[in-house]
Amino acid sequence: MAAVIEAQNLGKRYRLGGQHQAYATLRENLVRWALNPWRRRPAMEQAWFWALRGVSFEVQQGEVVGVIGRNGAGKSTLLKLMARITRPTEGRARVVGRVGSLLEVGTGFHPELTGRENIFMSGAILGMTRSEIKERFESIVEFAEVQRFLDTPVKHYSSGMQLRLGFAVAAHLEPEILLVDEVLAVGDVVFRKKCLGKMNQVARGGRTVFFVSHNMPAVRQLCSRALLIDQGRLVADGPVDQVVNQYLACTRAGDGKGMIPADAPRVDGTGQALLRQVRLQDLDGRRLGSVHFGQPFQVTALYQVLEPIDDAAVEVGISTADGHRVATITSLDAGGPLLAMTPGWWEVSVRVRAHLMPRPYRLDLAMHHMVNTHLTIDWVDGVLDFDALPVAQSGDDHYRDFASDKVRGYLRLAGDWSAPRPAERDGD
Amino acid sequence: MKRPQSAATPHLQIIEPPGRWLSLRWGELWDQRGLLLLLAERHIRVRYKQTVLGVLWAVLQPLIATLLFTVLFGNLLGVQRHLAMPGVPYAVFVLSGLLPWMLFASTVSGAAASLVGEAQLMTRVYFPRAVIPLSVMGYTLLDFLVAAGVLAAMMLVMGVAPSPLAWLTPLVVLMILAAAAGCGLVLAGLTVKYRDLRFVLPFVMQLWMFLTPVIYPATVIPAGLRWLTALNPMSGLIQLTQRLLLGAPCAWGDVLISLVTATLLFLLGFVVFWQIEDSFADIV
Repeated sequence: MAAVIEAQNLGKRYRLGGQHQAYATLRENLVRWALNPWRRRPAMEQAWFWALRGVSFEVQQGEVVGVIGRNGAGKSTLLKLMARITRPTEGRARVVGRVGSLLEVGTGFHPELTGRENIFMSGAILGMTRSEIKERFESIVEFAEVQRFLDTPVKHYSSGMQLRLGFAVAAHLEPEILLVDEVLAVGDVVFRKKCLGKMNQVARGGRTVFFVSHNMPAVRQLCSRALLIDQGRLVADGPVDQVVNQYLACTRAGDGKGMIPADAPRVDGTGQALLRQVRLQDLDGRRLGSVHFGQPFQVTALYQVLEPIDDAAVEVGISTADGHRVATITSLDAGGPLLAMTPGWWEVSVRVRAHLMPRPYRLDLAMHHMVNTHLTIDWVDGVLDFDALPVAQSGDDHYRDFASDKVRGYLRLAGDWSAPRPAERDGD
Repeated sequence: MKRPQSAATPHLQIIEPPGRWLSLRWGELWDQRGLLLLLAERHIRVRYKQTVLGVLWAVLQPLIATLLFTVLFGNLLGVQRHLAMPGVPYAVFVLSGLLPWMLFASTVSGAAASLVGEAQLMTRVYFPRAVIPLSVMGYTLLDFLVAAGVLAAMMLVMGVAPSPLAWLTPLVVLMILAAAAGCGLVLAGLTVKYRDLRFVLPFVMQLWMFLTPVIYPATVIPAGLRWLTALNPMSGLIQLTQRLLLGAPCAWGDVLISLVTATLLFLLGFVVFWQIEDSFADIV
């Protein structure tokens, strides 16, 4: 098989200061020029940064390649280069085949136009000819399920309908190389499943797909290979499981302080609910940054529930800072009920008394369906860092002598000891 | 649009840094003419859906302007006396000058604002950027045609017979569009870079109109300055319109100079645009 994409040493440099300082005002430039016609721009404005540098790879025909990395790592820049939206500063890529890019759902939609008009508009902007759109029109409408609203302006559509229509158009693009950026991060579960199914179909049809996403389950499901980009460099390129694991191992989902963005890298999940915040508190609700040996504490998780759930269990994991699970607490442990939540924001909290040896730890949180599908609803590792400290000076004297930083292991378990009694020498 | 590629000639693209030298992209633009037409169509649909007045606006705008200029300049200031065109009322003269001017001005300002308005689109998908400013002609040309109907009606009512050469005016309209495209492309590119250009442009266009023989005959310009005003492409093109339509006197030397500057403006517009279009997605 021949390589359809051959990238050599691709690099893209941007002016520092974000895109909003990229354009100046004419007035400023005229004034500056009038004041000092001979000087070039001030040095400050000549600060640059490389959004992407030295990226080389090859993609064979029919490969489905995931591009992963944290926010701002350069994934989208790479996609924009491949889509020709922006030109590289250095390097070169050779692309064989028609390229279609799906960097947003509903590209080229105009709210005043009807669904029918927008299908033609968006299709043309994405690169389809009029006859291609006509040919696929029925199929697009069917996929989007908007038959009855074809002649209604899109501004009267629900956001879900707009999404479906936008994706339907793009999904029928049928280019030889399809570039997709994070479009599956939106919409409800049914819609996302449908999109994933369609993309699977596209991929199996022998076309090459470049898929940028934070959604690790989707990347694992769709892609055979992944590129990991970090700080503009290509740091890993290989089988999808290996690269995704490498990424998850070196990345945290949140800021380590308990805030988790909606698009944080999740280990797994259907997306029906998203963990958005985790707090470590004492039993009176005061925030804690550390827990003394044996001190009871409370973990409160704030979930954004997007779809009704009625059979869930929440799992709180305590892991070492480098990710080895030390202990797990679940809402089912003491025969607790299945959790039911309607769309909205919900808080789940659990009180724990764990005898953690003094070390740095982190919390992992997951929510699972416990009936029927047994799917994982949401799973995020390393959401909150905290330290376990030696026993507090006051109170809890029972364990005072127990804990010191010299003790081995992570957890001290309370046991029932019996007094020493004389024993017969065993056996031989 | 793209023709289906046969297996023998796969569609090959080289992605590399923008070159330093002149790049002409006529072929690519021609390939995307379908998109250009569709965008033009979108402008028309949106325009006539959004404004309740719709077509009425295209009728009223030139009419009101004509009325205003006729009362102010024609009657109060007495420009009418300089007209030297027997049988042509000042109102008809003004409207026949306003029509080509408004076509030019609305195309230029529409094109100038267009790229910034489509910022979202430019950062999401690739296509030859020039189709955005060029598609503005969809509605400016339609507005022009509607207004041309108004002029025809006015000539009919006032009993002004069109000149035997009137059938040639579409060619002048093409030249006006070419000049407007060139000018609009440059301004569209500059507006991406310098956002405050948007606020300056209306004044510039207003000033430009008064420097162009739109509401006064070119004959009132002192002879020593005529060659200078002829450099303004619209100066000759409007004279030509009025000559072809009404048989108004016209300086052919002016017309020739304007035809040359209009052509140069057209070419320059594309060359400049293609030189800077690669950076649009980064700064828009």
